[in-house]
Amino acid sequence: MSEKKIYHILEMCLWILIPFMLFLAIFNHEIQPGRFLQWLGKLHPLALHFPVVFGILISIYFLFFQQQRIPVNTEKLLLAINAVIASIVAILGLLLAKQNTYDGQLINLHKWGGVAIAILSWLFLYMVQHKTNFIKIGAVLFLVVLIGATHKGAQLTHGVNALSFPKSSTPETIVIDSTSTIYQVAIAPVFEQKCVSCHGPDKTKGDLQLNTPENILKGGKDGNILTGSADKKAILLERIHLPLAHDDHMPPEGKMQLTSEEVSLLNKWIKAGADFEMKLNDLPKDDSLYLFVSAAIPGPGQTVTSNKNLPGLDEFNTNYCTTNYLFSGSDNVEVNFFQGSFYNRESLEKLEKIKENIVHLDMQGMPLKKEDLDIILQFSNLEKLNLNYTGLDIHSLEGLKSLPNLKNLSISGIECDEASLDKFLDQSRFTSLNIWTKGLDEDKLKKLGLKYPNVNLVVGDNLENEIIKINDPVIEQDSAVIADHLNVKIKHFLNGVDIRFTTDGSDPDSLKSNKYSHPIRLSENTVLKVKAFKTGWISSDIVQRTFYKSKIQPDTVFLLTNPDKKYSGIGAKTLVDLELGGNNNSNGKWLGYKDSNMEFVIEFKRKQPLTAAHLNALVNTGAYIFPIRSITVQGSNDGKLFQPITEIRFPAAEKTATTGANSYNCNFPESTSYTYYKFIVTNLKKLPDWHPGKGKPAWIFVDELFLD
Amino acid sequence: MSRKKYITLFVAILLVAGLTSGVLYFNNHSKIHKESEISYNRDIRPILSDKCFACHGPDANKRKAGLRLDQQAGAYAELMKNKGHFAIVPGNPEESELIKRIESNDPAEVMPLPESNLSRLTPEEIDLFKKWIKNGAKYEKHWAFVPPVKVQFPEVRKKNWVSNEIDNFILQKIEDEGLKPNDRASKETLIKRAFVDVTGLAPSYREINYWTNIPDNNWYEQLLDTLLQKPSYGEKMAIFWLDLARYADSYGFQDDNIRTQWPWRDWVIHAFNKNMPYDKFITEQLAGDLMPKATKETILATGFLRNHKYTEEGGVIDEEYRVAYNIDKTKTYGKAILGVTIECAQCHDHKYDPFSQKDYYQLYAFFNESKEVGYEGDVSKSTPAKNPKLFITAEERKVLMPYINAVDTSTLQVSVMGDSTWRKPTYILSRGSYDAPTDVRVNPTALESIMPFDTLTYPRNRLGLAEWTVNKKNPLTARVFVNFVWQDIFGKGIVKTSGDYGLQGELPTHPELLDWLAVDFMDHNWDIKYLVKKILMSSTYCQSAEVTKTHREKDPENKFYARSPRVRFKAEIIRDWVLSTSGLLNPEIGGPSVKPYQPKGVWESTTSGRGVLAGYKQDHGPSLYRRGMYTFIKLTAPPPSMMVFDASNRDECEARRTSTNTPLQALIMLNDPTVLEASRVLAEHISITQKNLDEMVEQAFITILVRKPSKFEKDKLVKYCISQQKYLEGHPDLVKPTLAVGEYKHPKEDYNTSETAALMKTILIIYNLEETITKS
Amino acid sequence: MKEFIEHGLNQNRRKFLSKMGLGLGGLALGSLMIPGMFDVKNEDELFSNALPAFAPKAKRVIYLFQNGAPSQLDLFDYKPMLQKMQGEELPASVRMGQRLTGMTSNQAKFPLAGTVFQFAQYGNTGAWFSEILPHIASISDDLCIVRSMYTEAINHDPALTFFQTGAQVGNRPSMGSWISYGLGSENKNLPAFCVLLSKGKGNGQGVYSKLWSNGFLDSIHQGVQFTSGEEPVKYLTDPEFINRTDKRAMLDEISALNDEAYKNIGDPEIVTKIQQYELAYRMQMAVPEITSLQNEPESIIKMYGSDCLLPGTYAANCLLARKLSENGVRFVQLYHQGWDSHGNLPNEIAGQCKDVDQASAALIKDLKQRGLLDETLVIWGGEFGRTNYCQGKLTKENYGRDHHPRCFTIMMAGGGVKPGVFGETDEFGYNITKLPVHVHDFHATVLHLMGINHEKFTYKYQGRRFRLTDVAGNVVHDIIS
Repeated sequence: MSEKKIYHILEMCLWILIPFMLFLAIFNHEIQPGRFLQWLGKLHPLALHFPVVFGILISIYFLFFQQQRIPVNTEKLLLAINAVIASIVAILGLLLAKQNTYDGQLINLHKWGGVAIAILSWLFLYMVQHKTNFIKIGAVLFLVVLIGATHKGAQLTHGVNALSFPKSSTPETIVIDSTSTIYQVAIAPVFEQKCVSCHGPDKTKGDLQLNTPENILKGGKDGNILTGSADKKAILLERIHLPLAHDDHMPPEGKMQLTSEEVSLLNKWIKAGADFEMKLNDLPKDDSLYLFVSAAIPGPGQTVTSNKNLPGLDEFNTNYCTTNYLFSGSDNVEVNFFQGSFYNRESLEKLEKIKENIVHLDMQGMPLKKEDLDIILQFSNLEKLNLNYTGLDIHSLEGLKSLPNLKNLSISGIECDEASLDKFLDQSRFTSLNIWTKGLDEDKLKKLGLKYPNVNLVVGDNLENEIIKINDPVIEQDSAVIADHLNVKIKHFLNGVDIRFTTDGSDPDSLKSNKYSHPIRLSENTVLKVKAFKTGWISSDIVQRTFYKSKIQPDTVFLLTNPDKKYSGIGAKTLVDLELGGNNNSNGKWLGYKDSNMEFVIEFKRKQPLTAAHLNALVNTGAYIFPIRSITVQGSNDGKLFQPITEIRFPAAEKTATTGANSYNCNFPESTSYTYYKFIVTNLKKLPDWHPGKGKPAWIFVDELFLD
Repeated sequence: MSRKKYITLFVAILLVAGLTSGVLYFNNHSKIHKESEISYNRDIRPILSDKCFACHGPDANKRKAGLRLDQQAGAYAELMKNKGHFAIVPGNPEESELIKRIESNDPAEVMPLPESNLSRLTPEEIDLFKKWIKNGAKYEKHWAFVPPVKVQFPEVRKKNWVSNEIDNFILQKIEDEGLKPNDRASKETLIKRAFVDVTGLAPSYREINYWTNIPDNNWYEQLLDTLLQKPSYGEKMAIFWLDLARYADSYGFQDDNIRTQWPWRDWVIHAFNKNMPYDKFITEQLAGDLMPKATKETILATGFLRNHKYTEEGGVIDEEYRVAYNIDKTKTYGKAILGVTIECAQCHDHKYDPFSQKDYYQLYAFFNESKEVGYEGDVSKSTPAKNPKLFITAEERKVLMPYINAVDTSTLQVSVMGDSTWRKPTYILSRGSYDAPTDVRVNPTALESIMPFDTLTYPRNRLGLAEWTVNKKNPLTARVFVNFVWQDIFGKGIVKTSGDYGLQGELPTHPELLDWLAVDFMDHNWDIKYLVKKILMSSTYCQSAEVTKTHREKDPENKFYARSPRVRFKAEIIRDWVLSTSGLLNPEIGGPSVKPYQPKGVWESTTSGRGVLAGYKQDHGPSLYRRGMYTFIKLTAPPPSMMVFDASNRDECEARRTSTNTPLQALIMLNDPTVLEASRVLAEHISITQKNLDEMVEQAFITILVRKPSKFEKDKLVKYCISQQKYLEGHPDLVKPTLAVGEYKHPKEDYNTSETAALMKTILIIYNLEETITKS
Repeated sequence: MKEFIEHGLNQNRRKFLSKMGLGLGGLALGSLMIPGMFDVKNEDELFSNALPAFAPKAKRVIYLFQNGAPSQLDLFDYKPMLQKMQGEELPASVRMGQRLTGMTSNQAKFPLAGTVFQFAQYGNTGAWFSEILPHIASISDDLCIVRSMYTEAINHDPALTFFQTGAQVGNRPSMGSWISYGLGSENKNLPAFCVLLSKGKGNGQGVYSKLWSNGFLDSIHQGVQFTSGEEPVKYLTDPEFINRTDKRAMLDEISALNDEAYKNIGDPEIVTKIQQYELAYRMQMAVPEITSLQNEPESIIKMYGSDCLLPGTYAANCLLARKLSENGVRFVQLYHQGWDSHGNLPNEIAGQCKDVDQASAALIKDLKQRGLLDETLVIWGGEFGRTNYCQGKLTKENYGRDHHPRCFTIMMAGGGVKPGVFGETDEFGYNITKLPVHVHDFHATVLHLMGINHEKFTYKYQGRRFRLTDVAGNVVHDIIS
């Protein structure tokens, strides 16, 4: 293809590109490029260097070397190429400008600068025809615009000071260790962030600069700011402590204020003499300033690599293995395994990909083999490892000593004896070892502790041989009333415990009494006594429950005296609903009396012989509920005329009476048989002196009546 | 110029045009706002309120640098701390300090200040501000405080889709977004939806057959009319009102003894069923005792204000709690009826809304007139209601309020409102604490910034407040209620923050629609059934819920209703659905709350051991099968199965339930005795009526999901059922225990066949399908 | 068996992961076309996604809440002066007109009541302990004892609510819910926040589910109540006629059918549902394995005391707490009722200590010997303190104490707190004289130990940004190691 043809194509392109460019430039605010165009925009930084260099060359050429000319067509061709690229670059730039938000001023200059370059380089094409010397002017102009625009561009991307002479830089990153001074670590950053913008080299209000120790010591127009006197705070503190509204308050209202931590930090530092050389480890560990500063700086073993974006860890997470970065910004990883029965090696093997990053590994309770351990040994930065109850044996752990950073190891529940442990500790780097397992002799371990003073040997209590009492067995049967029969379950949660029970009122023993194996079937009034035994343990207390058989049900029951309104249960029915009230007197299952005796009558369709009656009543002296004082029973056949049957008095409660329901029995004389029976149940009218409510009447609470 | 040149030029222009239009095409789809479009209320105020008002808002005490940005005057004024500068210079972004500050990169300059823990503005937001200021930075009154007006509903292209006005508003937005609405949903789907949304109960197998086979083409309207007449409509509507009214069956606080507010609940159900107009509904609940023709019935309504918790803890300080109770009343009134978070002004002027602390206590004063005391004594002196109480005798129930469903003839007590005869002085409490009254005395006055409270027209008591509230000029009352109904049906309101219409609340997705509905509602004399029917008749509601790829991509949150939303049932409705589909439901209406199956120890493990509610005494017989809304709510240990499905804990007024998806929900659907029993009972019922297994499975499926199973579904279920039957025949010992769940009696003696057991397991699976408890 | 089940799970997981993949893929594509469609609107979420913000000292918390307020004067804060001035009136200069509860406000006199118990100093820290806490005293060198806590509320309900939610009233998320929301659960098969309840013989005050409520946070952060014994979690146990294989078969049916529904309806919610069913199933397998006491060696039983075998006892809950915590539960909250001794204090408190002393100490020792104590923060304390004067009748051997919010003692261990005794009260044990620690400060400190800045840790609800520490709270650096 001839130079001419190429030139024409280029020229045509220019006719398209330039107007389009202008359109974009003028309506830049209106338009919003779509994804594709946005992507194109990103090529701007890529392409721009070409026209820059080329442009400079051209202008130099026009300025100085035009004597030894190259053929016009070549010239035009080159210029055309330059112009095309320049305008493309400009267009890309305009698209790019829409995406990032740059400082309004700069972007404008740069924008139009770029457009100017494109247009100028286009004009060159037509200037070269008439070789006047205003082409030189054009060249100069071009050069100026070029440099100007590109500089603005540089500022946009590399910051305002891009091409300006480097300033003495303020301490940006300081290596923090206990030898660095408190000023560097804690004080300077505060000044940097909160003060220097107004009290620095650029802007020096009140002749005060807080950027360097020297300047700080120099103080401001009010002189020294650090030292105060007995009656007067140091100016710095004074200003900080003024109320926010106060005009002299620093930093002024509207500026970023100091946090409470920072204030007390400055306080403490100045109180401590505002010593710029004071080092962290000069201070006692419990000094409040030390605490403050050390809280402010990251502690040992924490690499702070903030605003570095780290890959996600999802691929390593399963339902039974969780991996996390120690904290956001850190590239240290902690790994936790859960639920040993689901352990599979795959998830451990996967971790090899990040073996450098893993610092904490918790595998407590995982069924581990030698192979698993070999994988773990690759985690060279491991600092903390938990292998409790992993079924490994101590000898297989030798390798762990080779891990350079492994300081904190837990191997509780791992088979080992003093000797093997001694061997294991020999030339180990551990600072803390948690070892607690069966059969380890404490004294010997103590000795080991002395032998390896720099290992903190945590040895748990060893109690297998301790002899303690077994907890009581549990009788699992809510109801205490036997309608037809009841199956009573007895539970105990200690493995291999031996449960004995009796139903004849005698105390169970570990030899004669019958052994509990399956639910006990009860169909009669029964006192069930249960006790648990196990060798190596003190046997449990006796647990006792009374079960009532309701043999005879009256046809109707009616109350002659009304119970207290709050404790009226479900009325008369309460007495025969075959449901006991438990220990809570206000649960609607009890009838409560205080101001009157309890009187009720039971009625049968026909004469009903009875041998005994049992009333179930509550005792809770704390709640003023005392035992029944007396029960009087009368019989009648017409419901009007009652003959006495029996009267029983019951002992008053002792101070030590335990809360709970008891049965109050009254046996009837031989051949007692009536259609009506009247019960008069009396309460204690005056509480004893030892009771806080002495003199007041006591409550009685009755929930059930049983008849034989 | 040569001919070539002309061609070039021509081509050039063509191309430019092409490219330009290309750019502009993309532009259509971008979010950038044109100057003309920028609206203070929509674009600017939310940002201001979120990022600036905390320090430059209505709260005078917290205001920084004396700058106030929530009002035009303040924003235009010269800066106090920075003479010669202005936060906002209309028409001139460059001169406006505000722009400088939000753009600044200097940590000491930039707003919001880093220490405020508020993130800085995005470039788009900054851009918005520039353009708004360029346009003259016009302020507008907050939309919600401007009375709604009925705008002419917009024209749309897809006219044939529209059934009523609602659709015009919805469809317009849909079309603007370049979306297409879904087609009308299937008959079966609509039947399920209508039953859920109107009655909250499932249709019977017969009803399904009837409505699916009805030839009539306005069958749907007939269906709605029939459903709206059912008494279960009142129950369904009551549910969200009970949340707002924080209804519960116990006093809350430590001993948490029983109370009887349920007659008030019966009143609410009744009111909805007889379609009491909303203005009356509100007036009676706010001031039924002060109305000229007050009756025991209107007084009962005021129980609304007394539903909050009452302490019975020994040794509390009376005044502390008396104040607390009135604060709760004020808060509930604000949130439930006006949709404003007035409680924020209790300790200080509101940070975002134009409510001063004075405004708050003026409103508080209305309730401060109440007779009640803070402490009537501890649990040992507990009574079922607190003074002032209303006593309702059996006689009065028979004559006056037959809808109160009492178990026996004993006289009922309900806590209601009653003002003391002399005006209790109300003082502003500094920091809102009861023991720090200031000497500033205030008189009862409604929130003037919403609508002036003319003391000539309105008496200075709750009745006046009620009249002010339901005045048609009140910009909020109608909007708020209409929105609640919308939320109840579509799962989220037109205003998403249905309890906050303030400056921090979200803006309506369809403002014109909201206003139209509100005005239309008032024009139709606050007719609630009319409103419900209106919404249910719309094509917006009737379209299918299918989520297409386009939906997922363009409108994942379904802001534009190009599909009917899929909403999981409320906790109560889930229970209702299970009971009604299985035929277990006891349809009795109202009455005291009941105690259905509940895991052991829920009450026992939390109780102090005092009070009637120390232990859970489960009911038996019909009470086990009442609707979810009647399940006894003990505030300190609310029913777990309800809580897991996001029911309100009724601790305080709740405007919107969250809808979450947790594993515990799966466990309940699989193991709750109610669901198991329902499966069993339905299985037994079907195995009697149907002969072969295919039909059994199909009927079960239809009964529960209100649609025929697809071939895939049917085959899968039948296959499973058969396999289970085989398995159970192999293990006959398993059959009896399988069918032993629940107390409901078996229909016939020889129930325990392996077939029934297998069917029960199959039904349990159907109950556990996502679709079963979802409105789709 | 497990393997087979696990296999089934994997298959399912793969299935719906691919589903999600498809779903998300589609969505992602969408986000390309509409710029910023999926920007997280809520910067709070953004923040909580980047937690912990700095190196945490504690990964988990076990909070042994002593519900009803134990008397600091009879357990930790030794005041011989009170014994000296037994029965004398509390000097007004000390009381300074502090408000009283309704129970004592009408009391004519405020006679000082010295403790009946013997006190002694223990360990290198020389901390004072009453004779009724022998086991806890024996580990005093592991304990960080703060004697200068104070609160604002004077009654149980508000005080408890304040301690658990940072506010006296209102429906705020509790501490555990905040931490669940911030840090999530380590073990994916367990909730991040578990609650265990027990009762002592003393005067009980009751607990309320709002104390472990998720407030306005997603209900996934609600505290889940655990008990040892047959049904550790409500609704967890299958009916006896459904065994594992049965259940698996059922779930596969359900998943398959839901899958089908997803194909037809295309709602991503359905996929979530499927996952929740799988998670529920995994939970059903995990919980019994974790809560079972079967493989606990006898010496552990003996360390906690044999009561730890009895479901629902404090000892049992302590043991369960360790098991949950070591299995990755972030926040285990215990409540033990019965400390509210307005009368008959000496007997009641002795009984309470008998219940909690051994097990509390055992829990700390147990964690320590497993190397878990340094990453687990254990907290022990009530909602406020008790008065130095007697409520009701004062006798030589019997007295009662009313509520006292002005000063009380809490203990902490492990999790980056420094062993020792911090803060002081005056010789009457009525006012704080050194290092006052407000409830908000306590919350701020706990969050700090978990690697969270309490001022940035917010959640926007109803237009307001809420914090656990409301608008106050300073980290107490003195007690951090």
